[in-house]
Amino acid sequence: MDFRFTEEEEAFRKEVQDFIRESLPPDWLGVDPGPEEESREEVYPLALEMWRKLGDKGWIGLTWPKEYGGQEASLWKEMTLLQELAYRGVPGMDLAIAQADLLLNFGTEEQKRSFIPPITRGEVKWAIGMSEPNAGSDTFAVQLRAVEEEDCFVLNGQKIWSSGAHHAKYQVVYARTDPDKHLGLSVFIVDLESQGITMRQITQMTGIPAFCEVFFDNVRVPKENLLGEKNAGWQILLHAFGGERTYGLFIIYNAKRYLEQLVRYCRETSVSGQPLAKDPLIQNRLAQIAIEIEVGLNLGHELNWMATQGIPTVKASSQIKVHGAAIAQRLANLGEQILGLYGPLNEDSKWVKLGGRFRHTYLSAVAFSMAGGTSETSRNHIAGRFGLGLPRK
Amino acid sequence: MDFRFTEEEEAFRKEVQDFLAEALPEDWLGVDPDGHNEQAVEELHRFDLEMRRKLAAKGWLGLQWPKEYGGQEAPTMKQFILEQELIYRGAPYWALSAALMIGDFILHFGTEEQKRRFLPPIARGEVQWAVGMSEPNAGSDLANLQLRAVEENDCFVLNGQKTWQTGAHYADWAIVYARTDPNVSKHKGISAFMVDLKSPGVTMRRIPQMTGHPAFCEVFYENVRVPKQNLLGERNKGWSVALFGVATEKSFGHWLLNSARRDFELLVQYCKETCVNGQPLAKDPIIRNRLAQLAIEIEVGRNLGYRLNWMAIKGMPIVAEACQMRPFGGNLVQRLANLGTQILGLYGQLDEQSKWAKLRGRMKYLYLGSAAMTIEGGTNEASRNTVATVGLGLPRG
Repeated sequence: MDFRFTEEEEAFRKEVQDFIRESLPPDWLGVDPGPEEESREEVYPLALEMWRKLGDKGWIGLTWPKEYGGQEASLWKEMTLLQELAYRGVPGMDLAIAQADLLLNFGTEEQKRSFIPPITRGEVKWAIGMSEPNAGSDTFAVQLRAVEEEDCFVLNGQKIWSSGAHHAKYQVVYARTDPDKHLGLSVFIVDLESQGITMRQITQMTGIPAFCEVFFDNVRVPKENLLGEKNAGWQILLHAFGGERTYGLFIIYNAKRYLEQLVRYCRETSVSGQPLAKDPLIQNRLAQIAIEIEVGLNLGHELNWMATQGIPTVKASSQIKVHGAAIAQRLANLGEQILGLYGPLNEDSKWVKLGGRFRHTYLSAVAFSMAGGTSETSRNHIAGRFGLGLPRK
Repeated sequence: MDFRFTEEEEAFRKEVQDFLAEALPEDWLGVDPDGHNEQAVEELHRFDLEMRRKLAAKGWLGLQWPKEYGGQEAPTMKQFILEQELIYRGAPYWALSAALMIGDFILHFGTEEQKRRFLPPIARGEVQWAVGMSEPNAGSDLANLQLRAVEENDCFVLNGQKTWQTGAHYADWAIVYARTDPNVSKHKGISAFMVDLKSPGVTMRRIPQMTGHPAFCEVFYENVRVPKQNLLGERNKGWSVALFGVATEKSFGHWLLNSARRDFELLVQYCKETCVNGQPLAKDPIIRNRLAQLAIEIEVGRNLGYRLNWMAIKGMPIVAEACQMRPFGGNLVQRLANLGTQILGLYGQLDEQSKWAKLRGRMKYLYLGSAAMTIEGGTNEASRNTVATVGLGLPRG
């Protein structure tokens, strides 16, 4: 057992840290991982810029084959990059990365050559079309129809909660090609500029219109954009769920940044003549969160190690997702309490503290136990055949 | 809305308080409302019997019963006040309450002859009852009970086993739920019997608990003959007796919350009197914060209890509310025990027999004993099911 990183990994980490420091404003407070905060007007240009810069460094798709623009580097290297980006709250890492992973595993040669290189160059953004109003945790309840015609598939229906779809060029759409619930899904790569696609942005309680309803009205999708086999979409779906391992991890690295900001705030702020950091109650609460974050980080290291060893990670990913969401919510709550009445202030108030980041995370962390797989379904995975082997009800 | 008690009610409360001040030893630490202390320790059991006789002498057992059966026909509020004071002071309560509950069943379902035979001895504090409900395969799913009662010419013959019968080894009688018809759906084939525990064929085995106190028993029935006149209510209608119990039980959770108040005050007093590193524990901000949180919850509990009682007096259905209090009470006692053990530090683990024990080992006992308090007499989970279905009208799973 060895808890250290290699010299090479440490060197790369430093390289990433330098890159981040050079690319971001010095007072950068950070944004949450994922595309949500990119929909803030002031963040979007920086997100596009960072995505392109990462492409220039060759850091998008580090583990991918060189023939598609990757570097065939180790998984550790990629995790190091992603963790540093999450920790520093860097915008720009696109959902395209996870979608390219699907292409690599299920795509034709032509699809890989066509779609992956632009992703590695940071030139194009992708979205995911999975959930529908009646298909959330029950993903197989998808109803959007894809009818096969001579030269294409015709898509009709609706997707919802598609993060960043309004900024994306392509969307990976899970559609029904056969009435059989589990064996009737197919996956398509849809050009979001196609005829028949309309979108409506949905504003979250953070105030950010981060995701969309996407409506498909007789949208014609070329047959060569079918990903994997017709009606075998379940395989891609399961693979996609496995990829969620990183989400919980990112939430925890993200939380580490928030905690450090909160600790610094407590050191620098005095109330009734004493720094908040000296208040035993506050110390106690901060310590508790620090413990939980440390636990999460270690769960994450083990999870990454398991992935490099090819050990199945569904249970561990589910665990870390549940844990990460819970920590983030508790931390947000604690931050708001410590900030007192300043806590609820919006970032454009002249009285705001910490750039309003805690108000943001208080509102956004609510979704962490729901987005990308709810904590309840994650616990089902842990209880069920991936983890404890308990029987389904 | 009026949160006050009447003068008469306050006078009665004072009467009970004075009675307890005399009847309880000065340094009385209190026993828990689940009976697990006094039903396990011989000395405490004798004290329980003594208390019951004293209460009976005051006419305070069966307060609400008709006078012809030894009761006082007193208003519900009087019973509530008596119960509140007894439990708050940690006087032995479980056995007298079980007997009263069974007496209520007899009042509701019994024949005139049964009422005359069974109620007066209960009101006189002369007899202890046990409750024969759970079996190894019938806990939360009580209707799954298997103990058979076969009708013969002049009696029913009981065969089977009950478990978790608190105080059965000290009891004279038990109410036993048995299966009289295995051929109908499980709720419809149950009958309730009053069983003399001295009957031939009844054997018991005490079950030790992790507190070290063996408060309850497995009770084995081998061809136990129960006279037909001891059938309570109609044959095969025993489930309605159980349901009646559920509907009228004014919440084990409420008892736990009430009793917790005493232990909480004990802990607060300890913090006031104990110095660590030259400072009273009561000045430590973290300890104050945790104690305050419990104080809030106990106060919430007290008010929930008042409301529950008021609803009962008004004849409103109280099942959902009673079930709300159940997990709240059980969880609170566990939190209290946990906090107490932490505050006491390493002393928190000492048994009262150790010369170094603090609070005579009360927190250690509570820590171990409270494990059962989210399970016994209806689990937290079953209670929440009732809150969801009866209270919120959500469909059964």
